Amino acid sequence: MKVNFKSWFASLPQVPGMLACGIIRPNGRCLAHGSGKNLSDEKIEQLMRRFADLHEPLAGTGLSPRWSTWAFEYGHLRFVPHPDNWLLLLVATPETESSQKLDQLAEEFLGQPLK
Amino acid sequence: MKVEGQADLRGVSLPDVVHLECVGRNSSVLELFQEQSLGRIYIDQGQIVHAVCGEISGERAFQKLFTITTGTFELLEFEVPPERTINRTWEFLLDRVLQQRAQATQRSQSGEITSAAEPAAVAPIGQAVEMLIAAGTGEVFYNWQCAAPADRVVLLQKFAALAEKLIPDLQLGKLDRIEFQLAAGRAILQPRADRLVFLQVATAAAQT
Repeated sequence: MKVNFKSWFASLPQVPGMLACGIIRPNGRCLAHGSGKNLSDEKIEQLMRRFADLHEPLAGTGLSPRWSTWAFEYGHLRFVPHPDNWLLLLVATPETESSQKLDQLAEEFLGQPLK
Repeated sequence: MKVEGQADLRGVSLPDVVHLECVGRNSSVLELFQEQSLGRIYIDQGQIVHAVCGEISGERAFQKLFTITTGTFELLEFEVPPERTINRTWEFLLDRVLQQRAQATQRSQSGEITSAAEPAAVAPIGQAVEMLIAAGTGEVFYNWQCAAPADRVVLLQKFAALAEKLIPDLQLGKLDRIEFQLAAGRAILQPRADRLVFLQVATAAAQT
């Protein structure tokens, strides 16, 4: 993991309203920053793996999202697949700085050279 | 009155929400705010029956509400409107609004000066290019320009199954929608156990 990316990822939990975040690397290794029982590190990892399984067949249906957002009542889940086969997950509280920054953070992630 | 949903006009377009409410044959009231209430749209079983914006009501009010580009809106439980002022179909009304926006955007791009009353300042918006509504079991109720409805139903069912697992696990409340940011637009999915909705919207730039 490159130093710039490492510090960028480490700063994500500091964004006000950010509930959790995580990343899956191309080798399948996962790094998660959860919070509390409902969004523990283990749960975040599980969530990302489930989503990764679901995301792969999307290309076959003519849909290749740059990112996708699951809008729940109390949390927005943003999944961002990187062209270098990394997957980012952000969990933001609605109506907070974190949810307003989701697009910006997704663009920053996509702009990172990760190879 | 219970607030069922809230959205920022920068993130979700008003036509998308009205479209989904009408196609889903829902009954609701959409209220628009900019610090204070600007107006309301009443939808009764998928039909737009009344709109009010300040002093005006009816179709003019409906159109005026679509010229608002900043603020928020709330989706409220349906209540009977004080009167019925709109009798045209929602397809006609939305089509007209989208046409006006497209014309305003064209005028704006060609440098024409427009009056403040016209919706020339509206940013380019999306237009629906595909829509599908099905029962949770997969029976298609409505298909508009969807080339592979069976594929869409399978996709929605997969997402619905995952959502069913996620909802009790995450404790984040009800799932309102899933949005895909595509290269040339967006797709909005409502994968519920009893109803599957898929709407794809192209950005204005992608349509030209």
